Amino acid sequence: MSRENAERRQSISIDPRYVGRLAGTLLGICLATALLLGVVNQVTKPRIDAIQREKQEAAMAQVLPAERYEPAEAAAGGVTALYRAFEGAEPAGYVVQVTANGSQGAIQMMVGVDVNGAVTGVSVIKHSETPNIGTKVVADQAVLDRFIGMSRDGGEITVNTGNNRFDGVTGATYSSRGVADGVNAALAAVAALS
Amino acid sequence: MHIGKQLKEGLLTQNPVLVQLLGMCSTLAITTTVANGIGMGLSVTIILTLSNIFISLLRRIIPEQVRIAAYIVVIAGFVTIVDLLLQAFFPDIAESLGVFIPLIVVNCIILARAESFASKNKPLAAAVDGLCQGVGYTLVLLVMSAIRELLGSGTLAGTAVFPGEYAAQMMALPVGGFLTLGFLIALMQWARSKAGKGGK
Repeated sequence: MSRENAERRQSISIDPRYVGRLAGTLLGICLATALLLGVVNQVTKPRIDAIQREKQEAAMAQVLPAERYEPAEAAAGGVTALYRAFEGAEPAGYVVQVTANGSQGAIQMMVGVDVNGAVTGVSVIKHSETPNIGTKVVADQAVLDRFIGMSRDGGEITVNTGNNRFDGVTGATYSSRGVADGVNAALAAVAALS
Repeated sequence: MHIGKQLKEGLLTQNPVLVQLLGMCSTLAITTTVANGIGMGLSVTIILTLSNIFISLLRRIIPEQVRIAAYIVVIAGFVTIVDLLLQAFFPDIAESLGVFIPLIVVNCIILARAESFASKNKPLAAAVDGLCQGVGYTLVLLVMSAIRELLGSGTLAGTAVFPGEYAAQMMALPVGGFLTLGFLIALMQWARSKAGKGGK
């Protein structure tokens, strides 16, 4: 590299006006973008929140229909939210939101449990299981409905074996186990509560 | 203005996926169903057109040394806006595209067009470029997702064509994505070499 070239390079890097222009332009673009994002967020946030709440309530109503849900403290691992359900003043059971490990990642699901500790319904909210394999468990309501009526009376729910048996789907063992683990965690959380 | 030439480039001779080999990751990942392909294609087209227009408008203001950073901020801003709007007004599409919308920020098609076209041309030409390249991308996604959905799940755009039991599950998995893309690129190369010989 020639000496002249090196000098010019140095003079560019320390010229305060040039550096100021670089930083100023970038700052201006960032500020304009941030302002725009703020406006869009202001407009969309109420709608997004409403859609989220609606989805949550629909999932809760599906696993355990009740008049009113009240949040409660959840103690067990994997449980992200726990609600007591009421029909008027009468307790109707519990709705547990739980995250379990599937074969490809977390399976977020909602489990309804009645006052006697039996499952009233299972609904998968979010998952990333393999299409056509894991989805034969998590996206098939008929398979998820096999949990209805199961409880901790026979011990932990196990897949394709044991007394308290859940019939999984062939080829989707890990997804079946994941969902069963989620139901077990939900039942444990309810048992710890009552 | 050469709208016809730009359209031909976007669709065929300079197709972003099959010829420039850009945006492979999203192409392989989301083309499992036709609905996903269309959703992703349209989102990219909208963001590409908007970011091309703005980068073209700002091309004399942005200093060369910080241009990449400036492009990324502009692109990320538009991606976030589209993401929020999709979540608020089209929650079903937003859900099925999931994490791939935020990932459009690092989709190299958009950065490549900003760097190689929008930063050197007038806003109108840049908008047409964004539109043509976006349509080219959408078209490839459409073809790929149609092939993979049909062979992998036995359905086409959600309607059953043949029973799912006879489908080749492999086609819906990443393997099928690589295979389909490989065949399409080979087909494109063959067509291009044919066309090249015919011209001479």
